[in-house]
Amino acid sequence: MGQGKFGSLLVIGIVICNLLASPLPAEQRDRFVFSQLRYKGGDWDPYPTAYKEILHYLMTTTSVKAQGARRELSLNAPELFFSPFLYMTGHEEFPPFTRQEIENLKRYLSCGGLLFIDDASAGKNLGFDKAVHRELEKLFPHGKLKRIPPDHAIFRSFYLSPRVVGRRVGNPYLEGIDIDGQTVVIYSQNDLGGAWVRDRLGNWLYECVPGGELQRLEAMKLFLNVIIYSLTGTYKRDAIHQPYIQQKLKTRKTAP
Amino acid sequence: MGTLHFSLDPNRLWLVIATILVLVALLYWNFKWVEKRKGLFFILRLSIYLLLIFLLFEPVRTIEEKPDEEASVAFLIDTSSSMGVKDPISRFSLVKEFLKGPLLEGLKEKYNLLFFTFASTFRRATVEEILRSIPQGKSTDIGQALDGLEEELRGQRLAGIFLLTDGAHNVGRDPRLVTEKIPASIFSVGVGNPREFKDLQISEVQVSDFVFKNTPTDIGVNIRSYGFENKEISVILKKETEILQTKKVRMPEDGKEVSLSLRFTPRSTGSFNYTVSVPSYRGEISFANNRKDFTLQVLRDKIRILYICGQPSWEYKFLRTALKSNPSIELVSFIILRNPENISIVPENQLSLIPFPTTEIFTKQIFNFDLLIFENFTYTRFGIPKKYLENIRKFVMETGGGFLMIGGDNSFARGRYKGTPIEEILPVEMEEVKGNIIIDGKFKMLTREARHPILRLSDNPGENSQIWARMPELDGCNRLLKAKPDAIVLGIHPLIKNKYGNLVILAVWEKGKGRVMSVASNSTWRWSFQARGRGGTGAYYERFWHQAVHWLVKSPQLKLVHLNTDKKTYAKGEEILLSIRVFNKYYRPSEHARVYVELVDPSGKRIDLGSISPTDRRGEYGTNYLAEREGKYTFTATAWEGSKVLGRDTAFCKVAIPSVEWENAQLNEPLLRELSNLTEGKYFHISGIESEKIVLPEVKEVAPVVKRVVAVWNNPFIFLLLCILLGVEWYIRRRSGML
Repeated sequence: MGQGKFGSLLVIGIVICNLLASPLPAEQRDRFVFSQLRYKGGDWDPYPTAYKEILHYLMTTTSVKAQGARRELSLNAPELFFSPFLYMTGHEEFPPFTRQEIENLKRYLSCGGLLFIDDASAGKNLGFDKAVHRELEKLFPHGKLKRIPPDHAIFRSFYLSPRVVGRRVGNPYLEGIDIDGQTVVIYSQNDLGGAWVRDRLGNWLYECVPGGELQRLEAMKLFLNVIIYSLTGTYKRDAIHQPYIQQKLKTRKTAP
Repeated sequence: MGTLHFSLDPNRLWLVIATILVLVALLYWNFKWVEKRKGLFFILRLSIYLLLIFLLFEPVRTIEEKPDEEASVAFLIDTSSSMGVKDPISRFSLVKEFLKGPLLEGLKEKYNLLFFTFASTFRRATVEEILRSIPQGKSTDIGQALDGLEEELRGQRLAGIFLLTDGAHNVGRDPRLVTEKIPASIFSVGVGNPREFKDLQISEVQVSDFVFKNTPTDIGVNIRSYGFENKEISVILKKETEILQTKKVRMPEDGKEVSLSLRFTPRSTGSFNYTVSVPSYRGEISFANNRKDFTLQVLRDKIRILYICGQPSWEYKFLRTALKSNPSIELVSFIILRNPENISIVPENQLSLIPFPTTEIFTKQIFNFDLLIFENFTYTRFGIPKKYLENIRKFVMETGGGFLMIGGDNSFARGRYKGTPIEEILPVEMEEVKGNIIIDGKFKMLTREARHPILRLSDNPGENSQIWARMPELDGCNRLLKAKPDAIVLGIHPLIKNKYGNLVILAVWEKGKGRVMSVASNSTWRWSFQARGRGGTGAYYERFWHQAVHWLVKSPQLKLVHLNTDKKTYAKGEEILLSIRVFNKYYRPSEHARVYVELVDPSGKRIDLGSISPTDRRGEYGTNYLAEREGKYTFTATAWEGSKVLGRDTAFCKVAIPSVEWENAQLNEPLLRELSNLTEGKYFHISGIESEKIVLPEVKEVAPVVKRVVAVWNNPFIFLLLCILLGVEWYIRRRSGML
């Protein structure tokens, strides 16, 4: 084998290593990191580029500083506890989590982590929804998903009362599970992720049905609220905010 | 003479019998061989042996004292302070008149008169002593007086007991229970005017030992009166000299209590003297019971924290959760959710954002807080003028507030705090803005001064070290130049150094009246999330921050100097014991501190007690002070180490005359009548006793009382007799040529 061939192999090897390696350095300092759950089976990543739009929007409209790259994690990954925000999405049913994965996820949620589940199929009782309910049953045998009320801090964390919509409207409400007064699981069945996808020319790839672009804006606002909620908790429930919030809500009701 | 009996233990009788047999054998053997003067020797030897046998039986003599032929009459005279009341004539002067009167002259002819005085103690006295004395007793214990009399006169023929008192028994055993063993009738003589009695008394004040600042507090007050039936009285609550509340109450019938509640809200922490009082009216028998003083400790209710965060972050979320989980903390926070350069694609009314009230916060509200936290927050972006930062400096240095700066892109030098009042109060010096002053990379903070209360996650030093060794890594930090000279460095970067040493991550110091802490990284949330992710606990993270907060706001439990008195109330003339515990700034007992104590006495005079010596316990110092004046004493201890003051502490105590004597000083005729009835005596009022025909009952024979038991065998004369008998026998033998 000549030197040239060896050099090519070396370069290819280096490229492969870089591709295989996590695209995100472990150091994140005080940056928000968009962590997405990579699970076996199903389709864990129906919108591979959505996170870029989300992060761009986040950093453009809020003071949050974020890492540009996404962190893909399995429930057994050591980096699971590097980011208290975890996004899970998919269209299809997926195999059950192992016992260790359930333990890890339970610990993640009870330690201050938040799991945001986004059903991209936007259909009740279809594959993904069934699998989610199945796994949540194992995680919380004594707790069920409950509707998140309209005055929850999620709906005030940045935007005021965004509508609960996505690319489609599967459920006009969010559901959640609480631990110690904090909502640790948020479940949307409206395909929020799909509202963020653009084509290579920068146009939105998927139409938002039935509300069109206004619906898309509401979906974006809701997604942003969930992220801000994961970073601020019940901040917007503090007494100091209430008079302003009530005043703005009143103004919105009476606005022509 | 007494009676003779033997006290030999029956179990030793066999020994005595054996000895007798031996002595008889000896006697026979001795005289078998004696040739001359057999009879004399026999008598001598027999006498000796009989004496020995007598002694073996341990003879004792019981001497009984027969009672005196003449019966006695005892006079118990009350010399407590209430006997000095003038209603309208001094009670004790009436007693003196009685003692000089004809009744005693008459009794002297037939009886032996014995005199005793009582108040808080009981003692024998003479009439002359009583006539010269002034009633000053601090309390009245009739039960003890009767007890003492019974013991003193046991076995004597007692014809009667005259009890001269106002009956205001206020301490000790119920005298009615003592009457069972009194062998004579009690003739109670009531001294005091039951009719023209006027008194207004604060009988009880019900309040806890401590209350909370800014929390409405209720004090229960009971008032009793005589001579004020149906009259409206003002009740005043004062703190030191400040009137807190005045309430009017209508008095019920004489002797009955009325209850009312006084409410106030303490506005500052500390130990304060409060007084509940009613007006003094002319003719009252005592003004001392028109007021009651008490000391209240006012504790802070909640620690108020203002937390300003420059951007939403995990550090904010976890620290907020930790602070909110502590019920003693009230947290107000502002997060800058949007910067000026951020764009908004919706109208303002669709945003839940509120205006950041910079003027309100930095000119007014800041002084209502105990601790101010800046996390990753720069003042420059929000039009906050530098002069507002001066208020933060004042908040710390002049009002004693706490300040905490947590790192991030907008903290320290990057936050443009160099050259501002904030730089002055921080315990660290900042790098210049240019250059790389944010350091990426994970690291495990190395702790220094692990005994400092902020870092003490376990009381066991070994365990504490292990806890810190297991803490997850931090991620990134601000590059700080160095700690300032008086700062305490609690944590450093393990690897990165500059010319001053390892980079400072965690530092604290006292600045003016306040305290400041700098944390160069805003990733301590990992000590919770990652620690728990590994199967550990987030409790150490919470404990670290709670301890940091308590240290910054100078919670009492984290003081360096603790001054205590052994009691809160003392009697006049009692010694006040002061103990001072001193810790150095690293929270180790300070054995080399110089401790000085100063006091302010009730007259307002400052007295310097000088330097206080250490005790034999590490870090402890102690001294005494004799309290000679009534009123409030304020002690202040200051501890120095080198040329620096380590800390100060203040303690209060009160010196008061016991007020029991004045709580209920009116003539208690019912009690005196009962004492007489129980002993088949009679009650008289002192004003009419001269005209009464007093007939003392016949004295019953008193059973002889065993006074002394004397051991005869232990008598030196017995020993001498034995020696004489032996000596005579020896002499005769010698003279007879038998030796």
